[in-house]
Amino acid sequence: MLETEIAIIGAGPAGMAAALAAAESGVAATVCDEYPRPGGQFFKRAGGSFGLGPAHLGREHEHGERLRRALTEDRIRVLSDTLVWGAFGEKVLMLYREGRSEALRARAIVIATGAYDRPVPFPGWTLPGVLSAGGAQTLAKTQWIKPGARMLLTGAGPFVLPVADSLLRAGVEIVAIVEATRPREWWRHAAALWGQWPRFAEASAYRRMLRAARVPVLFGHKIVRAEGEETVTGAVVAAVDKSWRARPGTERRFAVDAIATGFGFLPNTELPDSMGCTLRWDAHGQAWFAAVDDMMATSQAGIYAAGEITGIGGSVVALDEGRIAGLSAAEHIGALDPARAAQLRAPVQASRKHLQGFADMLNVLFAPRPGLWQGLIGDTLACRCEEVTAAEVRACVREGCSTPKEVKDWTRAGMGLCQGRICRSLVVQAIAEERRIAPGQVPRSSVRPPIKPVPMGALAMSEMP
Amino acid sequence: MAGYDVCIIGGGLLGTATAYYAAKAGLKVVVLEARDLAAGASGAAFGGVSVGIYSYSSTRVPPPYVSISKASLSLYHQCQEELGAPLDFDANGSLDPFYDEQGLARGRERAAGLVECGVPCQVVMREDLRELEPALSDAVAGATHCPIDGHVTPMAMVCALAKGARSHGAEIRTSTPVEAILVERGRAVGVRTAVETISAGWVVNTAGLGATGLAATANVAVPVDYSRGQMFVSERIPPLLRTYVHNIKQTHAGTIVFGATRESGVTDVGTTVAGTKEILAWAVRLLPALAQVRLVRSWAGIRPVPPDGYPIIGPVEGVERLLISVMHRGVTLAPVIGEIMTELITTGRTKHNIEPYLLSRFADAPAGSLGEVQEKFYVAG
Amino acid sequence: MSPAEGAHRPGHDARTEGVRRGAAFAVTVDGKEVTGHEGETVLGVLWAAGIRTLRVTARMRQPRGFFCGMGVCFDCLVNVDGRHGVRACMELARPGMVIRRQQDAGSFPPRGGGSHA
Repeated sequence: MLETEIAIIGAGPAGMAAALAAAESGVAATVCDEYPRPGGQFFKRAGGSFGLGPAHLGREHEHGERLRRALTEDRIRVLSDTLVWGAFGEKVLMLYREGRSEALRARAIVIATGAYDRPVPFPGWTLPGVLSAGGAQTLAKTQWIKPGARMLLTGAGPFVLPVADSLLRAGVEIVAIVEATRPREWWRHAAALWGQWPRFAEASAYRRMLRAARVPVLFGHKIVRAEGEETVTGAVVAAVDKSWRARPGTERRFAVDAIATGFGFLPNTELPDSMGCTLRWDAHGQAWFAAVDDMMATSQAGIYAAGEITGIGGSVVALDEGRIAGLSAAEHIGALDPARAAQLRAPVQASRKHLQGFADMLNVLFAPRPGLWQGLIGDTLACRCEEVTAAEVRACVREGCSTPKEVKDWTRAGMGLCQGRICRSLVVQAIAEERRIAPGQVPRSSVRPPIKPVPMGALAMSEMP
Repeated sequence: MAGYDVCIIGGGLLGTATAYYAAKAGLKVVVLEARDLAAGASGAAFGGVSVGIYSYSSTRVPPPYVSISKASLSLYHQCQEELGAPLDFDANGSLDPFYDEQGLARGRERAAGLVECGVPCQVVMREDLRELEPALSDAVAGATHCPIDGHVTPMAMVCALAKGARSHGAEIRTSTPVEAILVERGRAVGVRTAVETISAGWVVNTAGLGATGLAATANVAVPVDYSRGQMFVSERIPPLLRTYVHNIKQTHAGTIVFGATRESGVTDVGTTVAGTKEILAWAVRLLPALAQVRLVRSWAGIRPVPPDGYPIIGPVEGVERLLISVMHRGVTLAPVIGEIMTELITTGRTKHNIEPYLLSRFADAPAGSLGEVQEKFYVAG
Repeated sequence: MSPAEGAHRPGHDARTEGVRRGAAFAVTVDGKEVTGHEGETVLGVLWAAGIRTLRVTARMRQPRGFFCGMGVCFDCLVNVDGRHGVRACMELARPGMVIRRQQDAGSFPPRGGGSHA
């Protein structure tokens, strides 16, 4: 069995920052990460065998490299290609790596498992070539392979900008960026922009990039349909009202071979949930996040959460939260005395608060609006794994199912390999609509091990903690 | 004046089965479920519908138990026709594997006993087993094969029974915990919930883990032990299993459902590393093809187990119009329990022999002698 | 039923030009030889070759490609060296890999009230 002082789950910005903070405090940390290389989603990059010149690399590349180099320091052990499949007892994590199930015992845990693109259904969304914005960016950024020759990006909020940047660098022709909100809606939140000058600089740089590439931007529109037989060949968008409901008679079709959708993110909260950490519903994020105090402590002693799982804030917030969590975890195990820990935390807490303010504004401005779910009807799939249609889910709710568990038992929605990650929010939305309650009022289902599917042979030979 | 003819406490297999048969017989029925339908053991159970497999007994399955199990199995087929909702019920036979001489001897005893009760069952050795179930490993020396056995998805059965009950006018209320059974002058007259008193001609306690506590409100002692069963389900795979092998089956969707641990006294519904390892090691040993198949979910249920392992069914001494049914093999017996309860209510007796299963058998037995109770009823046949 | 043949476009290469890649090698996809480079995932190799249908679903017999690209959605499943249901986006391509696009397992009896199949 592996032992460590602080176990960190996730090697994205938050996880890496936590590891560095722990190491600075003289504490041995073990970082467990599912991917082959640290960096998470934000700092993901192509493997070493790619020879990339400056024209290929984005602005965050250097920062990511610095962090990765720092992780090689002695006190930090990085276990890549490692899945934490369950958390048991007193801070025991069960890992699946190299074909084996092993135990890792820690004195404190930092959970930094990040987030994934919010699934948004519409007719044709399962066609090959219809991708999440993150998925499109990953292929382009880490392997320099074009998700499509001609692409349409549809979404809400600024994440589409770095995605467009990655795609353009990879040689993709972007036929349009389709943004659901209109600029005039943004000025209400102008106050939140004060002091966020780096964000302005970033935004300006992206705008220049789009203009140089002559990418049309359509405001106040969204995707309503993907067309094609074996693969996507067309994207149909429509103008939307303030609730993002499609206006009749405004459809426009673009000939494309890939579509990327970017309507925000959902946090990977399975692990904190399974460890008994309290989750809080965020009405703007339309998701349950890990509840933390300003030390990044969850409701369970010695367990901290950082990064997107506490609230969508992007990489800059994640870096701060990771640092705070690492310091708090070090304090928890006695490696930092409380006064010193507080002293080290204070500037980072201030920075985080400042940055989170901006992120909060974005979350409010670009929060999903009711019309986003117009596609969740009829034959459009709600559960992609088990092929359960939105109509079947709604029918089952009308017949009396009021919880995601009941919908799952009746339709199999949520029983597939993704364990409900894609359909859970859609089932909740359907229940909320049919029963006329807020999505946050829909009961949550229990989380069970394995946190992701694991081969049975490995579990049969599992190390006992 | 009674509000309902029958008030059933508990919306699991036994409660919904009773509701279906009672409503079908024209009775005015209400089911009060504290949480959701099948929230307890019924929702977690493996789903074996079997005469031939019974792990809590001595080698021979007692004839009265065989009798009600066989009857229930027939009723399953009827339910499949009548209920009109998919049960995910298959009756392709069961296999109870053994690995050594001792197991073979037990298997032969089991089979002989069943045949004497008119149930087809035979021992099948390894070579012939390969034809029946090619995926079984060579570690299996043989198995008892009961060709009439089957399996069901318990949740589907509960939902189908509930639907059937409602179609005959039964009322089913979930999120409605019952606080007490009301007794007046030695007769059950209804129940009390947090918000109201419901009067009924008969009260049926099929509340599973809650049965003991509720019975206590009527001054009735119902001894029940608890045993946790951790269960597991895999991803969908191409057809691998045809029958139900004790205790592993393949659902219509293609997933492999298997289990379960037997953790006496545990009432926590978490799954553990130890339980996962134990059950998965057993499953992979039995079906080597499963080694590369992924586990998708684990869960646990708490079995209510009467002290001698056999069901508690029927009337209660000292309180009229109160019926109770608690057991740990509610899947197999659900339909026959529904029939028995309905017969008791409408006619005062039942065609099935429930003498060995009356609650009163625990009042008679001196402490620590419950093993003898079991043998007594077997011999009495 | 096998995934659509038409999706494989010989000569097609969606790779970005002007990027120096790792060593090239051959893998087979449904028996046809396809080029991969060190550092590319199975998904990358397939997508670069214009192969967009990675599997066909069990219930509705629909083609699927990839969706999240980060190992969450389990859409991009292929058979690699005999292992079924491998996430192409998470699996690094290696020389000589035998990749087969898959027809999903499982059947779907009629649904509705309580069908927990």
